Amino acid sequence: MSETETIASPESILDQIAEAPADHYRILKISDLDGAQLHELSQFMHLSLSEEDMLAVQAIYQEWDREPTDVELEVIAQTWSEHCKHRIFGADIEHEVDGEKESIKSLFKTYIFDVSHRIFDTKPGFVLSAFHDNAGFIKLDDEQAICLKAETHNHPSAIEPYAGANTGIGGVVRDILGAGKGAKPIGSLDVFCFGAPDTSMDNIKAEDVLHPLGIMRGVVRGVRDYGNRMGIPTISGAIQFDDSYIYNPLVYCGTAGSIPIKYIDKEVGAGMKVIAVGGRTGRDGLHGATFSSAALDTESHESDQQAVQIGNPIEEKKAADFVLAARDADLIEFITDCGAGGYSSAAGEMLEECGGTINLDNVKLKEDGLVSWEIFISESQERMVLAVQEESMEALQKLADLYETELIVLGDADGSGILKVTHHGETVCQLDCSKLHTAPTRELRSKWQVKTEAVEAPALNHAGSDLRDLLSDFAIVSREPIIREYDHEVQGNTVLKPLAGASGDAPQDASVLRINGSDKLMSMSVAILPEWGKTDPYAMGTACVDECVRQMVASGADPDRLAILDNFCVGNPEAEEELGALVETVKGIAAAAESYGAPFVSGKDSFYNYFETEDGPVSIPVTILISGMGILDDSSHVVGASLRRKDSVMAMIGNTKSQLGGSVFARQKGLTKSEVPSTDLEQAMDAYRKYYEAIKQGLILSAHDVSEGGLAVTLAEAAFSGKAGLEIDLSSLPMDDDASQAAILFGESPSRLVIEIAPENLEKVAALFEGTPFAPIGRAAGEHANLKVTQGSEVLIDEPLDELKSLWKNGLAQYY
Amino acid sequence: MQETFEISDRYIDAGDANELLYEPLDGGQTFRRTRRYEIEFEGEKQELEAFIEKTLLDPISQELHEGDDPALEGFTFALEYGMKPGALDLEKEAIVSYYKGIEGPAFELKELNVRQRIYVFGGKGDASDRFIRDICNYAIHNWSVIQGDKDQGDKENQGDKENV
Amino acid sequence: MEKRPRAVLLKFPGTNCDEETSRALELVGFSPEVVPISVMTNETLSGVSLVVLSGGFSYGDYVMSGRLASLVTEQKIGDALKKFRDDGGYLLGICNGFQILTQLGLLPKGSLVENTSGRFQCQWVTMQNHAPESPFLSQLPETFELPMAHAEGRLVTMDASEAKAYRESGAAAVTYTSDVNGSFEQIAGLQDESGRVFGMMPHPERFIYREDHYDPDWESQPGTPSEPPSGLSEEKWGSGYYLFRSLYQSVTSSN
Repeated sequence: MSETETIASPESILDQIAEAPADHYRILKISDLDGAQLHELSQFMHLSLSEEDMLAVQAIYQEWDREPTDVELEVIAQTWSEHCKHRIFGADIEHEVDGEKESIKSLFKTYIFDVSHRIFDTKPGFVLSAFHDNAGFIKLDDEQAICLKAETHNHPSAIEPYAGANTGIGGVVRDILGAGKGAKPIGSLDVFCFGAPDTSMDNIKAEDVLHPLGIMRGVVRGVRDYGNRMGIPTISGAIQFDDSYIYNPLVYCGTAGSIPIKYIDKEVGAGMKVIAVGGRTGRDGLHGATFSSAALDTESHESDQQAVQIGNPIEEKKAADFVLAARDADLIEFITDCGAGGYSSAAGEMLEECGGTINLDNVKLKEDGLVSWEIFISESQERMVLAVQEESMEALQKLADLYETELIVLGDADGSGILKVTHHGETVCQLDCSKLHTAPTRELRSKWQVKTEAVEAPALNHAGSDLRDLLSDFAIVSREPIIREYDHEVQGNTVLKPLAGASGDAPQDASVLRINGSDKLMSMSVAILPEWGKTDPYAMGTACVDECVRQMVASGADPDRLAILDNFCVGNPEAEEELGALVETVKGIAAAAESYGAPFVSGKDSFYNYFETEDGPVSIPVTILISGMGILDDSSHVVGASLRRKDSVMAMIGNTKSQLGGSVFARQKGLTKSEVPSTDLEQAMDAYRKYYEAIKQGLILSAHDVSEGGLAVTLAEAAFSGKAGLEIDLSSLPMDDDASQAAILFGESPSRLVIEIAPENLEKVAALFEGTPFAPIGRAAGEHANLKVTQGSEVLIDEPLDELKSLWKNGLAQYY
Repeated sequence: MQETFEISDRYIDAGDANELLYEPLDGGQTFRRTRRYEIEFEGEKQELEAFIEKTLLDPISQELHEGDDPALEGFTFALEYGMKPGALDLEKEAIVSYYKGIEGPAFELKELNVRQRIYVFGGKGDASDRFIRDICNYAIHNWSVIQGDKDQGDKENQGDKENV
Repeated sequence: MEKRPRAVLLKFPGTNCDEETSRALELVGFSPEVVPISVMTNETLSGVSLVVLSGGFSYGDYVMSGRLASLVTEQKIGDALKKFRDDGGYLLGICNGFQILTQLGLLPKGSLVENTSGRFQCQWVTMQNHAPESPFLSQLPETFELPMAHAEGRLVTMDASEAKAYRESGAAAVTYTSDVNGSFEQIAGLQDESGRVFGMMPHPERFIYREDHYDPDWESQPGTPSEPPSGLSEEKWGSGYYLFRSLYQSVTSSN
């Protein structure tokens, strides 16, 4: 946002062209303005519309032969903002990778929408709704469906972490309440990317940037205080630490919901009442949508204080109780949340086809004196908008009184196709809704060049101390201090908890929830690997989908009944290389999703995550969060990641590759250019299906995915349950011929699971995995409490587990 | 009329002040928290006091101090902060909304301002800037620093660091 | 079919464990009904055997946990609630409900303040049963596990000797077996003199089924096994189930 300095003085463009027929709105004479003036107007009004966009707006009004009101311009800016419209994902992109050129018409359509629809076709009846509602739904059983939605709240969290995170979670919970005719929020996920907690203050090269520790503490408390009060268990999450996130921390919040299938479809019809419930409207939430579509700089920290809102979870809890009771009484025809763009987006979405009138005089305000556009686009929290039958009003009012939430009538749907807004007896906005949603297509260029090279793996002198270094790394240390701040068991359905195992503090891969009224369960997991994307974004894409899927499968989910979400965070999309990395990532996730048959059902993107520091702009690496939901047929299928027996057999599923790139080990050793392992998609899915067969036969005691830190860390983590030591011999490990000892112990090649099986079941399991990389690699050793790893006669690691666990368990505790 | 109440906890010991900071200071500072309620009202003072005791005070675990003087003694400095105008203060909202629900209140509550105080004990020099930086955020807070009674000479400077 | 005893779960804005608590009550044989405070009247309690205050954050708990809820309750149904107790009714407070019962003065004097860690703590705890004769605890063994999740669960008394006296008198019906939050005498829950009013911080409704335990190899070891509902095997249940089942048997045998 380096052009902000060009903003002119207050007597500028707006005052020159404004005509005020009343105190509460203005008509803006834009027809005679040239491109530069239009852009100036956009900047002055904080519309975040480009010159090209403004020219398109001007053309629309020329066609209509009139001038816009300020309300209309604000509405158009909200609907066309990147935040609401995802215009970069819809852009025409000239892409070049390693010298080869291609044209992409819409990343979204090509790689997300079309891919998913091809998968839908192969699984009829599984995905019940995708992409058009607030969240995507998949079928749980004949009666119920589940849904998942994830969003980012990065810029607000950078400025005020506590408030940013709690309004982030509040927003995504409202998405679920507004999905279908109201889904019940049943579990949340939270994924963060921060600078390291021990970052030196001297390394922060800009004023008024909060220290990563302040961001982390604030964000965690924000999630805690909102999620816990709402009574939604926070069951899944991840944290990445990297210097590139110091200026632009990333805060992903996600929530899953459940709903009776009959309440998924919703429609607004002429004659319905449009009502709102929840909090009042104030100036506190103005320009959030356009704000989050622009980059941060020190100035935004100083001037955008208006964007900082604090959530009120009890207000939202009351609204949630109301919505779910109203849904169960079949009183809701349509519902959506008030998020970015406030009433303008919610009513716009609701009335875009049907049309109708919104009367701003009915809106209950927190303070007097708001003008029309302020009321209409205010993003005050904790509001839901519903369309209902007029005859339901009495029953709805009763429910609102019962749960002590405020209900207002906003207006009527009338079938005219026109969105009309009135205030103080005058029409302040009258827009043809079909025109609202046609923003100009952007044209962008992107480029990507492979950044890796063959790097020789270092010889291991003391693998035991390498393992200790890994277990103490911020990337791997236990998240326990944070997880315990979140109520992860409220609602009483968290069967597989984020901390479990015999001692209740060992890590899990996925979490599993029972669903009320069903004998089926839901698995939820997340995967995020930004380190991979720095050099090989395509491999990051495939590996993230793989890890997310693998974790759900490991927990007992049916590999053929999973759905995933893509949430991107990107720096500057106008920088060819950053956009190039994005394109490659998108191709990677698309390839993996299609091969696994795991459709995308929802997704979001956040751009302009870069910051102008004293040393120049700092962008985040392209960061993709893949989160997923899966279905377990029976509670007997639930499998945790912790060692359970003293005498069991340990086996490896999947091939260990020679590449070390992207691993925590490679980063620690400075091998940042090292080649990143690819994902053998078909082989992986074949293995997951076989694994599921073993699950159904009750042959798996525990299973832990091999991810950050590689096999050695996986083994240690599994044994942190404290049940027994491990004796592992890697001689027969399925691996590339040229895999080094470093790659075997610490490489992070995807698609691998370490499983625990009863000795008497080994043969049966081995038979199931015929034709797949699979081998027994050792046993649980009840006679000692060490992690002992050998390769033939060579002892690679022999470390006491209690010492390893203490390193792992205390790494973050001193900071949080 | 104006009245200030400050509530301190009997059972929460002074904690290591470095827990509040991004990077530790040496000097072994400790801290305690209190909450202050600045109230503008009309009516009988006893009625207000009764309301405060009934609504805000836990007689078992807390102590109530009336008036402007700091509730605690022997501190190096105290950082007082709270929500700035326009930022949602959930505690204040809860109290005000409870007050509004009372039928025929015995006094009129005109204005309520909830402030947190962090009293810092021990340490070398004036470290209040570090505490402001790491605890307060101008996006939502305003604050002031009260110099401790240990150093009477500095008391005159009270309010020097106000950003209100 | 036997007539199910009625249970009312009082719900405040911010109460959020009412649904699963209601489910648990239903499972053991009660006929539960969640009643928001907005419609609560003295009459609501007639014909009711059990009043439950479930977990959550009533009115946000911004002032102090349970305070505003106790004031509103006192105002709306204070006398009726005391009469309900005096007439032989049962009262159960879980987590925030325990905090509210304490504030209402229906339990031995004490206050639940911030954990010594200064944190919200979601973790499993082992508890000791000091009141095997309690209507709430009769089917639970000497020690049992439950999950807890609170930031303000440290029970303090005006003077430490009071807490000691609670230990001796049996008012401290359940204690933690280790110091988890700084509670005086490691007290986790209290009962009144009649034994019919009971409150504790941990959440029995979150450990109804064996599979709710964090350790998949946990084995159910109830104290005095009750008759499980027909068709269901004994091994299925967790500690929380036995608390609600104890209560059901006490209520039905005292009626």
